[in-house]
Amino acid sequence: MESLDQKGRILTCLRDFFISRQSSEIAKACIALSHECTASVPIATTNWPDVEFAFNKLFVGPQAVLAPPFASVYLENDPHVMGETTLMVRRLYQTVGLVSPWEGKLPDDHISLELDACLHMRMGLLKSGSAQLCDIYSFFLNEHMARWIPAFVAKINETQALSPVIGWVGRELDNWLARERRRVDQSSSEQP
Amino acid sequence: MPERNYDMVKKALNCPVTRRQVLKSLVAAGVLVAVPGGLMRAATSSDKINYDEIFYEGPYETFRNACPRNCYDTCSIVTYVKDGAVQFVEGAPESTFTDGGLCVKGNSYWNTTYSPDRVKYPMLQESRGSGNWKRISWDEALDRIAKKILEIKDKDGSLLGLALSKYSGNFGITNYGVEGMMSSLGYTTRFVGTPCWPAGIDAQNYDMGNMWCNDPEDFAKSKYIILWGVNPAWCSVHSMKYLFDAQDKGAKVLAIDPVFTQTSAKADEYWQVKTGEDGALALGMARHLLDKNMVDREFVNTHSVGFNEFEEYLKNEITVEWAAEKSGIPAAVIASTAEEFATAKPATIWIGYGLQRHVNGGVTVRSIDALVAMTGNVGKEGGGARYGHLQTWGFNYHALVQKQPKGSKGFSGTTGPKGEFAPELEETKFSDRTLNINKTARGLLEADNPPIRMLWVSCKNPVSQDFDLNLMKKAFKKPEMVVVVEKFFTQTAELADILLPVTTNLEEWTVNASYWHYWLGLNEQAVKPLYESKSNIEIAAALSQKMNELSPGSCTFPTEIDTKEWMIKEFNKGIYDLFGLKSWEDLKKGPHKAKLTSTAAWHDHKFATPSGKYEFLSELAAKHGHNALPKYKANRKPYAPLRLLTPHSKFNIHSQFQNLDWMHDFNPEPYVYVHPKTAADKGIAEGDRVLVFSKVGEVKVKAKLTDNVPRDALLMYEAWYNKNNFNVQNVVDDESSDMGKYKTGAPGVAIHDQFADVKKA
Repeated sequence: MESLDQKGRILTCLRDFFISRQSSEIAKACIALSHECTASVPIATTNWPDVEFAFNKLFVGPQAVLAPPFASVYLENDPHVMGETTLMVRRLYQTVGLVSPWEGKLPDDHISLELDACLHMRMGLLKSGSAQLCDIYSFFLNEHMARWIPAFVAKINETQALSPVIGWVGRELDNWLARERRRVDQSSSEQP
Repeated sequence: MPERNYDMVKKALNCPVTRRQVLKSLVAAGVLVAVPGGLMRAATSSDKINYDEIFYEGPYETFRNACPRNCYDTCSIVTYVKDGAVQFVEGAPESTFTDGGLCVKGNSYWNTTYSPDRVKYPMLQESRGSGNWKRISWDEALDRIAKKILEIKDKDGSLLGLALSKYSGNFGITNYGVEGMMSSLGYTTRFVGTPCWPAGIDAQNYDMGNMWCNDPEDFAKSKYIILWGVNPAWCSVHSMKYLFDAQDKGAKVLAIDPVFTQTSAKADEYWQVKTGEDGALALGMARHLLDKNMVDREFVNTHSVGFNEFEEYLKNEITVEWAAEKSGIPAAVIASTAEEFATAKPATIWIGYGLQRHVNGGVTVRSIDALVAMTGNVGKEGGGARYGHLQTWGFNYHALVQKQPKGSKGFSGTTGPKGEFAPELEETKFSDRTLNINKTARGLLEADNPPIRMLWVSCKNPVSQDFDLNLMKKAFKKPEMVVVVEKFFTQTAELADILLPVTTNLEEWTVNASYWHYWLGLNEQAVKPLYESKSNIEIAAALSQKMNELSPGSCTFPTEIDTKEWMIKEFNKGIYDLFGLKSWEDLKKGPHKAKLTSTAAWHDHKFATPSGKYEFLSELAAKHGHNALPKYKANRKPYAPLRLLTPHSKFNIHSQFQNLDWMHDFNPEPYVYVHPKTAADKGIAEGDRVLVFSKVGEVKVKAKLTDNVPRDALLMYEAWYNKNNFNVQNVVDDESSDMGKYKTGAPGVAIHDQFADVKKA
């Protein structure tokens, strides 16, 4: 098992946060994230059950979710899941040798699956230095994630009052994407 | 995604060399299995990896589906799937009724399945109505439910404290497994009856011995068609082509409706009848035909009983002038139209469900039936008193028919639960306790000994669709546990303790028949269920497993089921013979139509009544407390200045579809429709926000002015809008209609005998 650098650990925290099922998992991901980057909210005194209620309103339901965590909702003409975007993302995963454990029961363009794919691709890049993988990762970050994550984070920000903690995680997601895009672009330009 | 980018990724990803090289480098580096705690897993191990697998735009897989909603048309659907995802749906071309096209609702099935707003996981509400939900596992959800059921049984000695509210949200036959699940637990409480069409069902049973309509495709054979209180241009769009065919061949189409509907606009003539006075109008027409000696004496003498008594009643108590005064249709028009109707052979009347949602609804249908019968049009192709039928529903009901666990105690007769009072009686004499589905709120509040401790809701949205919302909300506070099985977060789901995600029709196996046309359609599982949704019978099986874990023998429902096998188990020889099938698999090639001897119901004039004839005079009706003859019955006395109508819109079937984004684009918000003169009297202008209020409650909504509605009426289309608390049940009460108990277990409900007032908000 490989150890992760700080950016990888942040990525892991973000991934785990958005795929959380209950307050204990949300808390664990947030606390871990606060160890990697300064939290703008008081983590120690957070009421995690309340965060869970807000988390579900934003990302899970059962109400119509306030910030759907699926890329296709933002990138398709109609806001729905399992569109062309989802299938494109699935093919991209397959191209780099990955397949979702949910096998289509959870749309492949769920934010956590995309972050997990990033984790795999950046690890692959670090290990292999594959120029083609670098191109795919760059494409995924710049031409896919960068086209929907800002809108997703904006929706999270609109509901900031529901949970400042979730707002903070949203900002960290935005920050991570910006930094990672810069890093990969720089790395691409250094390729022979 | 912009086309340019999509093309880029397609180009990048469809290149096998690229993929091969990428995979090789990753496998060589051991990356695929090395990411700590990764969600993804490697698609293949290094020695089995298929480097040559290419992902490309291939042909679609197609699946057979059916629209399972409470709709006349029950369309046969072809679903196009690529890479395990539905791409689009279209009407099946093999069905001459669906004819390759779907309505605005049917076309949205893709949007239904893939809406981000679906209920995705089992959820637990912190406290009922709080809006604070926790995601729980299926195991935890079922554990909580099963323990509650066992607690109820322990406390009461029976499961009569467990009630089921289910109706027409999904008419796929295997979904009757919900009732089966209840039976497999014991004798429970059932909300019986139907809010839809019961008064008319009883009426047709008194007159003819069954509800049986002509094949709607034979409208084209009609010479005269009356569309009476029905709006197929919105509610049965596939029937319209047959009406147009008939018009093209010279038939006259008359629409009778209090509201000038889109169907009315397509008719040759339109009558704006006074709401609820349809019976008077039919009797006036009948009286005129007597006067003109235009009765089909051969039919009434040979194939009916009681016509003499009916004739005497008409002569003594009915005049055309009286009918004109009651109905608002001029006497001369009634007379001339009656003559046209009697002269045209064949002539037919489509009796809509709206006109029987009145305190006099059943007898109104009987009056119209009588008009069709006395003109000799019953049993004729292109004729008939068309209401609906269940001729093609002879399935095995395998999912429904489940045995109660040994030793179950239940209810007996009308005296109360039997278990603890007469334990010496054999258990086979027990039954479920029945409560009126149209008085669900009262049932929840008033049922006692034992009270309703737990409510299970599936295929129904009572908080949106049942009557007197204030009372319903109060009633939903009473049960100790409310379980709702749903696709979307409806107003009923808001009041659940446990909410369970259910599959859409594109995700489950079942089979569908229609109560209007004569086609049978397969419903294949086109795609895997999204998230953690399960079909109703899978939920039943999972609950049974949990029940038996906790208390062996406490549930008889099989714990492991193959949903496709359960669909197959619904077929039998009768169905195969009726539809000319060798096997259910024939339906994979497309829907099949019943092999009809004639397109006419009652074509042999062998009626299913006690006399075997058409019964203008029904002793059975009299025995059930009604008039033996279809005598005029007065409308409900108004309790507010304006009549309130809450019919169907074209964008939804009850509380389904309107919540979708697509529908929101077409129909973003509700309105109350007010006649311009009425609005002027009240100082209301187009677009004003107004308050519609009655003794039941109030609704705030924008006003639209139109003379399509009568001057003395307000109209709001019933619907459930996403993220909008609009609900017409705020101003509709649960007054019963006259009939329905005989065949459906409870009287219908007078949805259109409602009154309200309006003022600027």
